[in-house]
Amino acid sequence: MKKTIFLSILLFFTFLLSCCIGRYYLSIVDIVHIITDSGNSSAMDINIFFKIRLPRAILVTISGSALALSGFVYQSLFKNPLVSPDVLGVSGGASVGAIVAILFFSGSSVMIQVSSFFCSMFVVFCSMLLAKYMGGKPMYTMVLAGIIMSSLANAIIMSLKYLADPVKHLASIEYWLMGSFNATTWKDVLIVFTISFIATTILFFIKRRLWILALGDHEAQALGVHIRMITTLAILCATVLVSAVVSISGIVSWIGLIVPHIVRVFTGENYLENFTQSILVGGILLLIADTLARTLSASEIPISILTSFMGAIFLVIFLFLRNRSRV
Amino acid sequence: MKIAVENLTLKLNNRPILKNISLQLNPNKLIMLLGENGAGKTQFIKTIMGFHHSDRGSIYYDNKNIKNISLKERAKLISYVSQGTIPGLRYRVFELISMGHTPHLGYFEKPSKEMKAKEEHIMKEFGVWDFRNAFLDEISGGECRLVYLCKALVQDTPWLILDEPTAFLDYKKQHDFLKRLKTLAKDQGKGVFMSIHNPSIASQYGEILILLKNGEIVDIIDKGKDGYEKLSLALSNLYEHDMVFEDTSMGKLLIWKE
Repeated sequence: MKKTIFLSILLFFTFLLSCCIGRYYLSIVDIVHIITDSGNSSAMDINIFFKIRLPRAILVTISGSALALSGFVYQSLFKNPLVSPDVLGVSGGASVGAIVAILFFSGSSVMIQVSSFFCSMFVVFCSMLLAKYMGGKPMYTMVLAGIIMSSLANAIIMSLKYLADPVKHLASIEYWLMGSFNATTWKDVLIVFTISFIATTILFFIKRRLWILALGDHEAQALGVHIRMITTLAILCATVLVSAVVSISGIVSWIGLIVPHIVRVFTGENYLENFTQSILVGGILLLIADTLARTLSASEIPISILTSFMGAIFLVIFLFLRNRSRV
Repeated sequence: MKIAVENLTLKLNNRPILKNISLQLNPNKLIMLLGENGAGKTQFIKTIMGFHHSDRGSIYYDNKNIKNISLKERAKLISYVSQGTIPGLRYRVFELISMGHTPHLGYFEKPSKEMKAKEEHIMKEFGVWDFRNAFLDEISGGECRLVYLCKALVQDTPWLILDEPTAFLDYKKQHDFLKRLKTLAKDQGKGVFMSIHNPSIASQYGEILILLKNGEIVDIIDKGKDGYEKLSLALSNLYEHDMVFEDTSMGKLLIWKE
């Protein structure tokens, strides 16, 4: 519990710092003045804080939390720590949707969001349907079905990129595929918040049942857990979380895979607490990545470059720590 | 609560596993299921638990067909300890044991103080308390069985069904374990039904012995009523080998004839 409180405080300060840092610097005092409407904040300060920094920081926090929680749920469902939210093809689907919108619907942001959201849900739905008809152990066939659907999605992505106009479209496709929280609006925040809030609440409801699934089907059933209902609900919620995030920001890689590991290594293995801690650490990590993305160079760096980089470093540290503790 | 099985037939992948089984299980007595490997013990237990849909026949908990009892209600009636444990499960001992509360909790509920106190009492009684913070993959197979039993007891159900719970226990622990199960049945009025491989331990502790062979019940022996002679005949028949009970100063001893 103490660790969860510490992480909440850390998230708060990271959030505050993320609001301060940028090409236009706002001090904490400035922010307090803006919020309390005391002192004489300039119109510029107010505009930057309320129209740019605050919505972006909120969206980034929610996105990081959503991706991390989704990763945590997927890893526990599939009993495999190497599973990321991508396992059922959600990113592939989202990418196809976004590229189709960029190529054929003039790339308006609303079209990209709607199209990538529904495409990603559709691909996951196909994976689950395919797994159902393939039979066998559900969790194994689901991973296989996910690989098949991701591969199909990749084939479509590559064909669409091949056909895309290199001058007009290719750059925006590539940019979308690397993700960014640039030009976040309050509308984006509201959409992602609403969807994530619902999905996260449902996951909180079924947290204890999800935890029990790892004991195996019969043990879980004997404890009164509806395996199929809980599994389907968890996959649905975890997928909705990722779909909502990537449809707004583009692909954000690694967060879903790496955060549950970081949480387990640094706060100890305790399922019910790790669940909440993943949400907090996801927010913290993505806030750091996003702050770096918009401050490291003159032009903004796509977020996935940083998250991939951070992910790789964290994975090395994680493996190193794990091996050392075993020796 | 009584458990009744009527004309139960089960096939898995077209292979007949259980053939037309009918019997009734009553609480208060330690009931043991004996049979060779592949006789269908585990599948019989799983079918009673409702994990398999039988091809024919029905199972009743107190005259109510289990098809009409929800999973959660069933979990309040019977707790189950499976044969195997999951390798590499990174759960702590106390976490697994506290899972036993689940059927009694709503979606957002946490175990109450009384539930926690009861949990602690059970852990202390079974000698699990000292290693409650260890991870399951760090304790021995026998300790793991005890942890699963504690989980089943925390579930607080009128019936306990256990699939070879003594398999990984050392000799002393087997005796302690069965003595406790017998006390649970006798003193707390619980129903305890378990499968076991060792006929001599089974005949020492078991009060009702159900003998299963090739998916059929060949004998049901009530030790108190039928006596040891009938039991030795039934066991000899089950294992197709002569076995006799001999009187010793410490009680009956089952001998496998050379």
